[in-house]
Amino acid sequence: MDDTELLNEFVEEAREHLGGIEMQLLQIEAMGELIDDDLVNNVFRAIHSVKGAAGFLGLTQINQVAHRLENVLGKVRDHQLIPDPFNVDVMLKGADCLRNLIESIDTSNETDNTALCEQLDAVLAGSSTDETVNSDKAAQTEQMVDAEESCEAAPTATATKTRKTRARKAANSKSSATTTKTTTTKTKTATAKRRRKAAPAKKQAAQAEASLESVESAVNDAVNVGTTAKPAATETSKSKSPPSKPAAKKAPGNGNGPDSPKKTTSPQAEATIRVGVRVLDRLMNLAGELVLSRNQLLRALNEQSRSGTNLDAIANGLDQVTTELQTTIMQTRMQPIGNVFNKFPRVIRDLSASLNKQINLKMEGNDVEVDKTIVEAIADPLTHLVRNSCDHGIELPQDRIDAQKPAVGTVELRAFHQAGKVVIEIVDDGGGMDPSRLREIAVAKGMLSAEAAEQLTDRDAINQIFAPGFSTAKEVSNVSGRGVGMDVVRTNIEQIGGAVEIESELGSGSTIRITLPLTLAIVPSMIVSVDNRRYALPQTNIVELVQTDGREKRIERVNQAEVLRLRGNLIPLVRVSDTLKLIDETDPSEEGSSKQECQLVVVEAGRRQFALAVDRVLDSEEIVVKPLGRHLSNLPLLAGSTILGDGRVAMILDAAGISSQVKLTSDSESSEQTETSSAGEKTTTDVQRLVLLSVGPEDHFAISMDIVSRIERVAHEAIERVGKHRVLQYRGGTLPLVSVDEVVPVNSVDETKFVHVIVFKVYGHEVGLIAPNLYDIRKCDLLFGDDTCRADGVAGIAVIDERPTRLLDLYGLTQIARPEWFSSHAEDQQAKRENTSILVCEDSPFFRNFLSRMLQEEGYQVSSFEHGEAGWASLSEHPGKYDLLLTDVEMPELDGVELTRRVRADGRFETLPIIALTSLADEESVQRGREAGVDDYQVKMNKPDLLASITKHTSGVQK
Amino acid sequence: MNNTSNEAATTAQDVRQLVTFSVGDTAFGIDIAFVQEINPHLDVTKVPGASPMIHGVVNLRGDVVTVLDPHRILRIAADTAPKDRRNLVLNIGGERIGVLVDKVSDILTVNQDELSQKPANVRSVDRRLIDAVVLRNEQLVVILNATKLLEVVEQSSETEAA
Repeated sequence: MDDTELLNEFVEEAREHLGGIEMQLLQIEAMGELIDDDLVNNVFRAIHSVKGAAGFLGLTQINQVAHRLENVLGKVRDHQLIPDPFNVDVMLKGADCLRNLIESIDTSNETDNTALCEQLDAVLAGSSTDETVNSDKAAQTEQMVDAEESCEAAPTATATKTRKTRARKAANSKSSATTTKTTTTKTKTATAKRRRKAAPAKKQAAQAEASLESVESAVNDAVNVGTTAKPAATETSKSKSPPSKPAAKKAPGNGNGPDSPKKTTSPQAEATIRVGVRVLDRLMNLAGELVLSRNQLLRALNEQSRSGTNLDAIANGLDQVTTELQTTIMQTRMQPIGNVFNKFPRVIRDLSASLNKQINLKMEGNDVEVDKTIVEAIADPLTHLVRNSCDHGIELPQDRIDAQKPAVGTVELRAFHQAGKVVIEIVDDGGGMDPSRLREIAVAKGMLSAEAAEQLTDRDAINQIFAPGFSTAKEVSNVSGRGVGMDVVRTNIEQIGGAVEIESELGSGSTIRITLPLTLAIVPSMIVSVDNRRYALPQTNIVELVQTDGREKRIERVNQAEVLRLRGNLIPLVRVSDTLKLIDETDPSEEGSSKQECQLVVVEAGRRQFALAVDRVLDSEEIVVKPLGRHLSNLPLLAGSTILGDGRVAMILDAAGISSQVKLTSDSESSEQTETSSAGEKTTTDVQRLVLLSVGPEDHFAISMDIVSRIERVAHEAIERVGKHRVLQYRGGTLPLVSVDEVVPVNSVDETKFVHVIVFKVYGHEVGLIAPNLYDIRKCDLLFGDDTCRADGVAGIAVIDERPTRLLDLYGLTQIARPEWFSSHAEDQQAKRENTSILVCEDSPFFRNFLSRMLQEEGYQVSSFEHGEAGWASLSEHPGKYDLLLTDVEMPELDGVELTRRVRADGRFETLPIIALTSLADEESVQRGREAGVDDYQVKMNKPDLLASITKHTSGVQK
Repeated sequence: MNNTSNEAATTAQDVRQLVTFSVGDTAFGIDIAFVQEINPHLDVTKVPGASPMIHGVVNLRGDVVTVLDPHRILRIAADTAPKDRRNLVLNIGGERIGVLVDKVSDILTVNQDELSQKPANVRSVDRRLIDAVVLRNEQLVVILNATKLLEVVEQSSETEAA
């Protein structure tokens, strides 16, 4: 073993020693006078080990700083120095300094740490009149006792690696020991022996100290062996201990159990070993291959399943073993999120001091495990977010008191598993964010137009802080406010397949929620096929799969770009095969595949949704990501590769890369593009755009799209109950909700995590209809039957996709659910209307019945005819009878426009109000109608507006 | 790693062992020290957006290995799927890379003095790639420089990415 090797080992070991010290020092500070001897001993020992080895290796600066820090700690342990924020601060500085020195070990001897040493000396001197030499001696003597103590309190030793060479000897000799007890005894003897040897040496130079140190590490390591011998015990007790409590309260898992009730403060209670990541990767690879072999075997077995059943058992066994093997190996990569969380007590402590705020940190879920790479990747974004919470979130103590909140603010870090992902929440009870201010800033910074900002929901406005160049701090402090952070935070989190969002309430605080995948190594993906090649598409990107069933009419063209019409939104469509450009001449067989049939995958990259057209969606599979060689590492369209079940390599598509490749700009963002009357849509007779939804497997409903304001998808939990009514917090207000099953008899109601809320307006009230499953929006011929199935709230029944579908009358529905809204409208005009006679021309029997019934219910006299000619005949026969003509536009024989012309041409009817009805108000036909003399246009199913218009136009022509 | 080929040559006392293969009608040789294995497994997956010099990737016992298209690199017209196609897997300085050759012929032992330096009569092939040539059985065998091969691909990938 040469010097560099020794040095490297020292660095690694010292890192470990110093790793937990920060937490421990903070705990020591928190406990103040009630000094926990074991805790102090732990820190003391760690520093002592560093000091000893540094002296041995000639690292004078490290040795000096460690030496002084050790002296101070010795004082604390002897209860001669009471830890307070001041002296702990110096100690923390010492620990920081040591860590820095160790990170740049080569230059450590050239650094000057006299200032710090003086500070440490001052702390030491300030608390006691003892001479330094004395205290040093005392410290060393203490150290001896300490070593012994550590044997008794076996598990209190910090978890060190069994790798250490010097310790290996000791550990090896004890490795046969199977219980902690025997290990402990033997080690004790060893310690005693070595102590005698070491005793004279202590007067000598640093080298001797090193040997003492080796005794100690031998003890530690032997103890470690003991701990490893009972890993089960360790785990059990670990899992029992509530994670939110200080680590000091953790019951140590150890073989001696109840006879050692000592408290311990090791944050790394479980024995660990160090394994090279490369070795692990190789293991991962092999496990993956094993899975592959298993798959092949299973397939082979399936193919010749007739022969012999014995093989089945073997295959089953192999299946289980491989699965377990893979899971176990995956676990080796898992680390507790606490590794990141642990640094926050210090961050918060320092921040509260520099910001003059009082902040209390709560942590929960330290033991939640995620992949090593994720733990590493999340550290920086998380630090930034926590700092932001302290800087922007928590108010100054006086402000808090003024706001009737406790002076001490709380920042809470929570980690937990949810739906196969890890969620980290940063909750503060600070001032929260003001959506309107954020809108103003976004506009002021030119990031959004005033109109766009106005349209943002509060939630979206708050999430604007993730936009590049956004900073809300009025003054740039040294903590945050430079405005570069939050978008970097989001980018970093999204890079590892995570997501981040903020909820905030003005005055009461904010919650930042980060959702992370458990591992980066295995990605749940959809396997899709394009040009007979298979690709993997990570499921984190996928929003939904859309079945076109060859009905390409859902795909439309807008300025040469294809878009998918999905539930009222226009989503840019990208044909994957065009983007990949892989139709090459060498494989002519692939040319024949018809491009017409495709399946659509709606994906989300960044905040943008777009649809990918693939030939087929094959399967969902958990894929193991394999890196591509360096010649292929920078390809924008790909996120890597994977090996599929049959051993072939498949590329992983990168949604973000594809999006930037085809230059999808943000104006094609789907969210705001609710289509009203899309181009090329021709109003034809009785073709209605319907929203198709189902409540349960047997209950299908349709709603006319014409009266729907918009459709929202919300989580089921978001729906709240107020009294007997359900409401949704929505765009700053509450949206009353009506559920289909409240008013219409249904067989069963599906429980779904997300529901669609169909928003429409009734008499000025905005109402949302809850639809558990919404499966299509399309144009349908309304072949609704007669009144036989009529019920309140149902306008009729039709067969769509071979399913009986009830067309909901949203107004009737609302009337049943919220009768109070209608009471004022009901009676007042009833009398007037009885004298009012309306001529209705409408070719669809369904709508004719619907209109007649509706108008009669409202008190009007109604005569209805199936086309313009018949209506005209009646009108010219009884010129004085009708007060209003209500006509459909598209009709056989004589259409609405022609009828209007004819009516207007006849002098008798110059003033007869004419209201034209249409399914979709399109500009051209409206214009045509107006020119012919139509007074108003109304949408057929929009009952309130239609009635209002009728009232308006009949009020002047009372007989 | 640049001097590996030289070392291999000198330590073998002026004798070089070459794996010879053909691409189109031309015979090539590559130092056996670079050849890890010869693989009949030809399930190559195309990589969208990659340099044309890269034929695709294959699964080599759990690792994804890039496979080069020597026709493109050496500028030799490609035959339509010759049946003797092999994936010649090279290990160049720890990096594994496949070359999809039309046929693997033989292992050839040549003396250093048989080699002639970069003759002018090999026109089509990029001269940077040629280490030397040797005449065997009336046929000229072009000895490729494996390290240079990687460099050329690298450059082409960079321009592709840019």
